[in-house]
Amino acid sequence: MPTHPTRAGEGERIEHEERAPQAGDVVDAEAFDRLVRARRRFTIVVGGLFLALFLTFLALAGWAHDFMGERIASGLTVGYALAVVCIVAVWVVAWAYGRAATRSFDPLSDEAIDEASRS
Amino acid sequence: MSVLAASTAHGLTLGVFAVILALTLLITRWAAKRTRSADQFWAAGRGISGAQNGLAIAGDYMSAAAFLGTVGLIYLFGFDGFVTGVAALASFVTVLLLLAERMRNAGRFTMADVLAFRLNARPARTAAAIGTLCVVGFYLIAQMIAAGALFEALAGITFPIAVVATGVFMLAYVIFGGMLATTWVQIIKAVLLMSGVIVLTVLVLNRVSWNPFAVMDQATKHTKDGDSFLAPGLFFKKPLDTVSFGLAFLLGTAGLPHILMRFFTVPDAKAARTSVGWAVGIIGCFYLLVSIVGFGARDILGQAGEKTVGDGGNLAAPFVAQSLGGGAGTFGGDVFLAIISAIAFATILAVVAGLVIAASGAVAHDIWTNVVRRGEGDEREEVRIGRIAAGTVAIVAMVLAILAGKGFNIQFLVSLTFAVAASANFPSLLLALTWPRFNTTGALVGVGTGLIVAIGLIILSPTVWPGPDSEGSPFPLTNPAIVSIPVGFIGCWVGTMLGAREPRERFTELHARAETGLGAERATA
Repeated sequence: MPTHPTRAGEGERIEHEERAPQAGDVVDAEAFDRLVRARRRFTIVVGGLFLALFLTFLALAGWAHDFMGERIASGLTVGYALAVVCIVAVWVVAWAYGRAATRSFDPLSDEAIDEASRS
Repeated sequence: MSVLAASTAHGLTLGVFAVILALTLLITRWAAKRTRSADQFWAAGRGISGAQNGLAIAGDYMSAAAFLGTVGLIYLFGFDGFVTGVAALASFVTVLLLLAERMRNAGRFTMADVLAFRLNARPARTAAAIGTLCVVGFYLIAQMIAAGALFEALAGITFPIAVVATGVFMLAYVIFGGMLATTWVQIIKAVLLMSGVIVLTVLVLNRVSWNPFAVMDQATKHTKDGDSFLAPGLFFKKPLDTVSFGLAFLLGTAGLPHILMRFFTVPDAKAARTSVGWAVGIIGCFYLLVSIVGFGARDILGQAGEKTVGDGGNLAAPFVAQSLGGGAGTFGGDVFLAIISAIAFATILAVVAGLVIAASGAVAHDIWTNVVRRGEGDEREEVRIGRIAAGTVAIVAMVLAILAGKGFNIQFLVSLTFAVAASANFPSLLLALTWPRFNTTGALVGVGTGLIVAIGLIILSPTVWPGPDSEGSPFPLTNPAIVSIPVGFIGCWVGTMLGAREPRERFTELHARAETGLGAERATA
């Protein structure tokens, strides 16, 4: 396949300008469809879980003052523990997104461009 | 006599600060030699690595409000202060999942590039540039006032001179060193700020045998609020205030032009997401440490300290440093006070430099080159106008900050910044990237309604409404986000439905580019 553009990450020069696939072909590629779905599913599931956690935290901080002020241990309140959980959750989301992107989104994106350049 | 009136403390503060400034100016000189093209001026040639950009995002994002303000809020109000930190960090989930990679792929220099890519370019660009300038302008004036007030309190320089000095340095970075200098100033600031907070935390923990919860336990013994100091409700008086404030942050950061602009400085989308990873790691640790310093401040300064820490408790952190260093009048106390104060100034400089370069992009790249000149001008002209724009924006901000004066309510400006970013900028940006049917009318109506409703509700809110304690303000909440964000989205939707359908090809082009990076701007550095 001499006119086949190399994929990003293969260490060769990418020459999109000369042999770039058309946007329309990329969007029509079957892999593009899978990419958009995979990313959307991740955003809805992981983003939704985080949103639920964060909104619960805000609601409890807003309405449940006594509960949030309850001590789990000396000096440690439910509120502080939940705040730390939220911070750790942000880290987990960032890590999980990076993992999903490397394992799933990046290869699918390359595949879609590949597919489009062959069509 | 104020503990800070001691001139040795002022002299030391200025001395430490002078060292930091000298370092940043050297970097600016180095960067100036590498700043010629528009790519270099606004995007540092897209050669910043993911880790570097993560540090720079942290440096761009953690304002004086994040450091001095959060320590102060925790010192004054306990747990609610920490809630603000959690919300500030949570916002990066929105940035990462919805915008970071797509912005990198689809944009060039400014937020408006993304809207102009698929919509009717000139009106969409104008709307986005106005949204950018409002957000950046409010935030810039707030930071300048904070800088002036701090300089005056901690270094003994009068407010107007302090504001002008801040403006001059921020301009020097931007005009000569562009985004490259701004980036490195932000990186240095992030490292300094983290180091300062780590040292403060270690010293606070050292007093209580390394148990962070003992700090909180101790804090309750030094407040009239007792145990409720560790519970919410002392700062946010109404439950909906907490929620509205949280939402303003959650979606607001994703509409802050100076933060989004940072994603254009990395080589590709992968580096964009890596930078968010670094940024949340640093910012999360920062707020965890700041919570310990904040509760420690209550333990150390006690109830009596409330009279001396200034509005919003902004001086709590420097005072804690002084006390931990040995106390007022001691050499250790003065040195430590000087270091923490100098770090606070460096913090402000890094943030305002980021704001000015974002504003210069909106004026020069968006309004001048693409709206006024319809893309006719060459790159050299664009960069020249960018420098002039940076100077103009900075001078206007300096004048407004001096006119407003140090007593001006900065909290109002900061909540306005996030509310406008979340309600005017974020909806149209997200919909432009993801909704095929979205059109120019939708963007114009969305930005317009988001802007007007957010500003209008803040004027009607207890923060601004005149009268004793602002009782009976027409709008009950201090932050309008819970109303203005939905209104911003509804505005986008209504406008889209009223406007004419636009050809699908432009969205297809943007969609392919945003999702896969096909045809995205490449690194030139």
